[in-house]
Amino acid sequence: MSELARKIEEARRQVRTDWSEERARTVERAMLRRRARRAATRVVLAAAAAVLLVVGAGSIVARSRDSGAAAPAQAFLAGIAAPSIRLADGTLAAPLDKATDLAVVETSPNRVVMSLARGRAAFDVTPNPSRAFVVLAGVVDVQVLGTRFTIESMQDQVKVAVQRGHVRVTWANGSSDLMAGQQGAFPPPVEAAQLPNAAPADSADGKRGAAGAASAPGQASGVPTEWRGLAGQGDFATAYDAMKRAGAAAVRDDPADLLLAADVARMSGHSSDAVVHLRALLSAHRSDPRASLAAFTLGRVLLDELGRPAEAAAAFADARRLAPGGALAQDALAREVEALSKAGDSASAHERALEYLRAYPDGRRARSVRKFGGVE
Amino acid sequence: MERGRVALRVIPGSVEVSSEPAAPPSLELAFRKYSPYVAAVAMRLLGRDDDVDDVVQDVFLSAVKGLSQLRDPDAIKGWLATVTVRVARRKLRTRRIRSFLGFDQVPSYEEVASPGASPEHKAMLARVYAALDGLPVEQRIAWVLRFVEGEQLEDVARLTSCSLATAKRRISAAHQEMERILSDE
Repeated sequence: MSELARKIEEARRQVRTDWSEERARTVERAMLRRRARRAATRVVLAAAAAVLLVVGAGSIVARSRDSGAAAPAQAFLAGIAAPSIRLADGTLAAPLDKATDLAVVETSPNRVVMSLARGRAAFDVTPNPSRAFVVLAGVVDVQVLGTRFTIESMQDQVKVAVQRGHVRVTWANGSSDLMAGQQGAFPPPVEAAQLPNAAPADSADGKRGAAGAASAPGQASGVPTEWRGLAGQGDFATAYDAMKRAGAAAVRDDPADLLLAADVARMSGHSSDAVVHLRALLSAHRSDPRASLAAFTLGRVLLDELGRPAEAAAAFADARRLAPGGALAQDALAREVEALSKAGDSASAHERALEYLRAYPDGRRARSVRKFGGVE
Repeated sequence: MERGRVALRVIPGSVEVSSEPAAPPSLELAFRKYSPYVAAVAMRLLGRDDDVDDVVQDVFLSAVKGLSQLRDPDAIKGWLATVTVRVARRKLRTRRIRSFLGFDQVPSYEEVASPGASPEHKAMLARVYAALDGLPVEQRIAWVLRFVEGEQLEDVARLTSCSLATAKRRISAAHQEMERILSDE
C-alpha cells in the first residue's frame, strides 16, 4: 500500500455523515413534493396531448347533457400556465395565467388554506369531509368540499365559477352558495361599494374614476391602456409606466388599489415604490382585512428584494399583530426570525425562534427557524 | 397505490425471514431505511454537505421504478449505490461546468471531516477533496469508491457500469495524479 493510500485509509472513516432524522424528514417531504409535481406535470402533458389528438382528428367532443356539471378533466387542465400545486391527497391547484400569484399558506390534517393574491386559478379538490379547504382571494373566502372550480381575483371582486360540487363564498357582510354550473362575482356590486374606502363600483375591471369607463364585470373588451387594465393582463412593466405617467392621482387611497399598485411596482422591478404603496395602506387602512397581507408583502420586499432586514423584521411582526390567528401568522413569524438573524439581532431571532417552535412544533418552516434562530 | 404497502413498516426485516414472497418497499419506506446510506455515499463522492440533500432526493426519485422490481434488501442497497454514483456523476459534471464559467465557489473542504476528527485527518481530507476537484469525473468517482468508500475493484466496476479493466485503469491513473498533486504540496 502506498503512503497516500495508508493516509487515506486512516482518514476516510472521518468523513462526516450527519444525516439526522429531522434532516431526513425535511428531504423526504421535499422529495414527495417533487414527485407530486412530476405527477401533475404528467397529467398536464397527457391532457395537452389528448386535446391535440382531439383537435387533430377533428372530432366533436360530445357535451354532457348537464353542461354545468363535471367538465372533462382535460378541458379543465388545458389552460394551466405555470407549475401547479398538487397536495398529497391528489388535490390540484393550477394557475391559469402567468401573472397568477397562488400559494399554500397552511396545510394540516384538518385545514388547508391557499391564497390567490392575483390572477386566475383552477382547483380540483379531493373530497374530504373532515378537512376544511379554504381559498383566500381578495376580500372573499371560498370554502370548499370536494369540488372543481375556478377563481379569478379582480379589482374589488372575485369571480368564482363551479364546475362540480358546491362552494360557499363568504365576505365581510354576507355569503353565497354556488352549485355546479353556477358562477358569480363577489361581493355583489352594492356591497363592494360599501367596503371600507372602496371607490364607486361603476366597474369591477379597474377602469373607473378618472377614466370613467363604466362596464359590468366580464364585459370589458379591447386593449387596455390604463395601468390597472395592463396589470390585469400581467404586463407590469407597461402598467408601471402608465401609472407613473398618470401622476400622483393615479393610485386611489383604497386598499385594493394600493395593493395593486404595490404589485405593479414590485413585479416591474421598482421595489422601493412598492414599499411606499404598502406603507400608505398600513398607515391609512389598518383595520382593513388586507392589512396583514400588506404588512407581510412589505416584509418580503424589504428582506428579499431590498436587503433591509431590520425593517423587514418589523413588517413581519406587524403582519402578526394585525392578524394574530391569521393564515399568514406562521409564515410571518418564521420570516421574522430570518430577518432578525440577517439584521444581526441574534438574541431576538433566538427568542422568536423558540416562540415559533412552541406554537408550531411540526411547522413547515421549523428547519429554517432553527437555522436562523440558532436553535439546535 | 403506496398506501397498500404501509404494512411493511410494522415488520421491518421481515423480508429476510418471511416464507411469503416479500413485497417491494414503497418509496417512503425505502427512503427511511436507506437514506442514511445514500447520504453517506453521496457525501464521500462529492465532499460537500450542501449538495447531499439534492442528490438524496434525485437518487430516490430516479430509483423508484427500479425499486418496484426488487425484493432482496442487498439488491436494493446495491441498486441505490449504483443510482447514487450516476446522480453524483451528473452533479460533479454540472459543478465542473459551473466552475469553468465562474459560477461555482471553490469550497475550503474544511467541513468534509466530522467534527470529532483529529486536525491531521481534517487537513488530510481537505487536501484530498481539493485535489479530487482536479481529476476527470470518471477517475475521481472510481478512486473515491476504491479508497474512500473502500469498495472492491469488482464493485467499483459494477457501480460505475464499466469493465474491470477500465475501472482498474481509472483508479490507477487517478492514484498517480493524486500522489503527484499531494506530494507537490
